[in-house]
Amino acid sequence: MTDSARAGLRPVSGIGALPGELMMWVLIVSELLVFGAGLTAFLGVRLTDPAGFAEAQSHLHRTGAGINTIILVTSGWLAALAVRAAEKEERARTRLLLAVASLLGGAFLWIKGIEYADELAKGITFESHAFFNFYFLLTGFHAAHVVAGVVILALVARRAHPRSVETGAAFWHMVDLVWVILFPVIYLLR
Amino acid sequence: MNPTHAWLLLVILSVASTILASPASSGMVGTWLALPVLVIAWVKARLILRYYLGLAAAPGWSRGFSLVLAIYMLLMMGLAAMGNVAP
Repeated sequence: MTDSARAGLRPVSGIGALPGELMMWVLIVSELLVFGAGLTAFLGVRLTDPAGFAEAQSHLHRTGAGINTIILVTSGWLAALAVRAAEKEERARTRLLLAVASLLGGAFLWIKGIEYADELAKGITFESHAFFNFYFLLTGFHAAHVVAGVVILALVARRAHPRSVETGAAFWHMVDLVWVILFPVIYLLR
Repeated sequence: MNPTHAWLLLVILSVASTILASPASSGMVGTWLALPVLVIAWVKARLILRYYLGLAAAPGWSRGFSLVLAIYMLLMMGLAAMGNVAP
């Protein structure tokens, strides 16, 4: 959100009321629809084999995914603080916040990598069960977004311009938003 | 509320939902687990939209997103309840 918006210069309704870039909101809604459809299909297919899905889910690292949730929301918080720092033209602070947010994104991917490696070591693959089709597809697609987010945060940190930092942070929050919906459906519902 | 308050709530809610769903700490399954876990997910999504993405400054959009997400969570809850495995 820019200073002018905070000062009340932005309209309070209509398209103009949306903070940041309109195209970023189009992307956020598109991604929510894609992941939402994937998760709906996941729960729909689960109806055909509830016991098999429950057994498959028991092989996942629920605690690791819980830790990853905390890592991602913490990274999102730092990105939100970076937007405010960029608006105040505190470039060094903006860069530091974005760097730590990126590092936390890297930590998320590292934990996810450990999780995948452990599952592969157990002989679990994409084709082991319908549950794992969805699991690898949805979490893998999300991980690809995390990779993109880490790169975007690093790119916007270079100039630390308020508008680009806000846009980069919005992408990162979208990654966060998708995860807080994906995590309970895939890992927690039993 | 500011992003720091939202972050604290997000951490607390994330820990709460993970503990609720843990077989070791809670015997909850099916609908009784889906209800609190998906309500928590909805609250977390709202916190991110309002305080990370700044929708708190656009109340109409915030309400719209909240409503659509609530309907989606109800759909998820229904599917989760139908796919319940009896303990």
